[in-house]
Amino acid sequence: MWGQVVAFARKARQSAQIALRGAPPLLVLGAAGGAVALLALLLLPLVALVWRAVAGGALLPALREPLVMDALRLSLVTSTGSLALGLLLGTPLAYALARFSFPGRGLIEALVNLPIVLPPAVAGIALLMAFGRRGLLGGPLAAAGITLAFTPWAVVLAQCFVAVPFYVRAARAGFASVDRELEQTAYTLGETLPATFWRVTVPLAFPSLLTGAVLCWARALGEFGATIMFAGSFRGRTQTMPLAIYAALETDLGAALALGTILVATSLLVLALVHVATRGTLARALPDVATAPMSSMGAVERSTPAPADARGAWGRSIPSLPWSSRSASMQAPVQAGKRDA
Amino acid sequence: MLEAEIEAAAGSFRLQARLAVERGRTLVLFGPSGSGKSLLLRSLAGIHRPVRGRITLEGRTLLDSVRGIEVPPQARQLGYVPQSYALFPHLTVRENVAFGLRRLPAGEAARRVAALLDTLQLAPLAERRPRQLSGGQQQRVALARALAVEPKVLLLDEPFAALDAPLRRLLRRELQTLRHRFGFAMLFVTHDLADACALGDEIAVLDNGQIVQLGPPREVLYRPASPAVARLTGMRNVFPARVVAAGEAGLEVATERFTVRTPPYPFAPGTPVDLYVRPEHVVLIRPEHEHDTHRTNLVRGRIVDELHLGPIHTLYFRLIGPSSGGYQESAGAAAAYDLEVDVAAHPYQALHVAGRREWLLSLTPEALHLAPAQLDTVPALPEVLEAAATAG
Repeated sequence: MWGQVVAFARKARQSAQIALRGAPPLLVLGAAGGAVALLALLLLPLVALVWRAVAGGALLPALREPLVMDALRLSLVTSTGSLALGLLLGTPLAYALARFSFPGRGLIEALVNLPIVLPPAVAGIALLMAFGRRGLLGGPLAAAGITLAFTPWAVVLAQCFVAVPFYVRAARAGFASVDRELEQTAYTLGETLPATFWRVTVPLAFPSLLTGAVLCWARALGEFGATIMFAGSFRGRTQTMPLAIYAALETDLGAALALGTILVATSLLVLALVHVATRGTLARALPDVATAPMSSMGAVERSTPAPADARGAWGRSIPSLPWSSRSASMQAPVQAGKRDA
Repeated sequence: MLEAEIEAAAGSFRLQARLAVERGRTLVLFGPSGSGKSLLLRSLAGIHRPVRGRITLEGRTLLDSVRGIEVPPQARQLGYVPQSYALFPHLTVRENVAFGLRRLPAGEAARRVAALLDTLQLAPLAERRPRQLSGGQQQRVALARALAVEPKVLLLDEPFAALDAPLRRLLRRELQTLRHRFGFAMLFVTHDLADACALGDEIAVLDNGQIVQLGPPREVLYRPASPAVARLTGMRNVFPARVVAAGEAGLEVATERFTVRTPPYPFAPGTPVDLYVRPEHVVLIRPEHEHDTHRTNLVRGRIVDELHLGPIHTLYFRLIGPSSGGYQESAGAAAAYDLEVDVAAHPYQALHVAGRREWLLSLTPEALHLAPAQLDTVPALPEVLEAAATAG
């Protein structure tokens, strides 16, 4: 362990020495200072939040408050519901975008990507204009006795609007990274398109799908702007955790801190999951036995035995974070060599 | 029997082909890269939709663009092995081979997989994943997987392209054995002449989206239908020529440099023809033996360059006038060489080719082939021969 740390430090110094050769010392110092300041900006608030929540000893009692319990339950239900809806509706769309070319494909892709850059408040007011009581579709719906705005359904709709694009993007890249020839070969072996999708495409795109799903869920969990405008903030009905934090800020700081701490923990968990999905065991590349002695027919017994970590790993996983570039192949099998690190 | 007539397009590339393979036979699709071999195979497999065409397999219509029939790839009963093998990386060898057998009873599927793994000597590798296999092993898994669904025709796209020479040789023989054992028809795409000759009952030469010749290997090899086929099949010597005389025993054909007698061909005297000379059928004779050789069609040449390919030596000859006309160097000396001759390693050593530059070459009749003139250059014949030609 210590040896690794020392080796790492030595390597870092070496690469820094090479990269910075001839750079003005003042510039280097300034850049380093800036980086440290930025990192402090990112870290300090989180430390402060958790510190206040834990140090006051109010964390555990606060967790039992009805406000907190209600928000927790509602958030869990709505964000999971949004994710389910996203998987159900987004997967076929992502596959179509990855596999087929059809008129208007570029437009559809732009439409799917729009919510990622659109301010959530705009999403909220837009949803209201569409599904509100006097909205474009809300009017006829209300006439039919269906009200969406300011109900838990509105929360789910708002979360879907904002979060599902994250899943669709990742899934699209994941599907695109699966060699089409694999699917076509499966067809010639008698397998139908749906069965091929399930037996070939999904397993191979799984790291991307998992990453997209986790990010989609996390984004839904944190949704604030669109929700508060379209669904309001009614405890137990539409007041999710972020809304509850906002509501409790003035009246019950302890509850707000507790909710905040839970969300910080959840976020860390999400990052860990994404990390595992993209470069951990799931994507761990197998040793390339192509370099092993070519064992032809009679000599199969001589070839190298299967390595111990061969289970469940397949090397072609090309997960892509939704905010990274469109091309999934950029992050291709980077990890092949880092396996033992 | 698989019969197909296909017109397919990919981008601006157009493919037009008509072919038939009988049960138990192998048709090799031979041609340079970009000639449309793979496109043809993919069209047959049903994973590329041709512009129009008709495919029937043992009386069953797989595709008929006129009647609007298109059987999906799942129901064509054609085994397909793409060039990349397309093994499923997340499945073991056993699971790969069993992939198409999901609808079979489990016991039956397991039996079939085990038998195939045995036949292809993959049993010890059954639990490996494709990435843990060598190229040849991957190739055999892909074969086993395609054979598992008991196809009527096996479509192989450059199956040996990624393999080294010894492995190629081994797999060629193994593929022959498999074919005899299972009796499937085979369509084999390759750009390797040795593959084509070793495996093909018939060879279809593809060039630029067209089948330019279709016939048994000997015919394609020794009777190229065009200069393009000759180039692709290693018939590296082509001379513009003219028939000088025709008789029962054969023809007398004159090029700019030399006159030879060929087996009979249906050409009248005076006809411009292309004279093909297979490089491996030219016999080297020491000049001092000129008068005691029984060989015919002697020309005189000097080695100007040579290439050692291991088992074969390619000698580049410049011809020295007509063999009767003294030792004058011919007029068209601009060409670096006139004739390529392939000599196996043993005669090369036994004849001490390395130590001697001037040779008598016998263009044996079996080395020669005549075709209607298609070369751009019109032969400018020596005056004497010209006169003979017009007289005939």
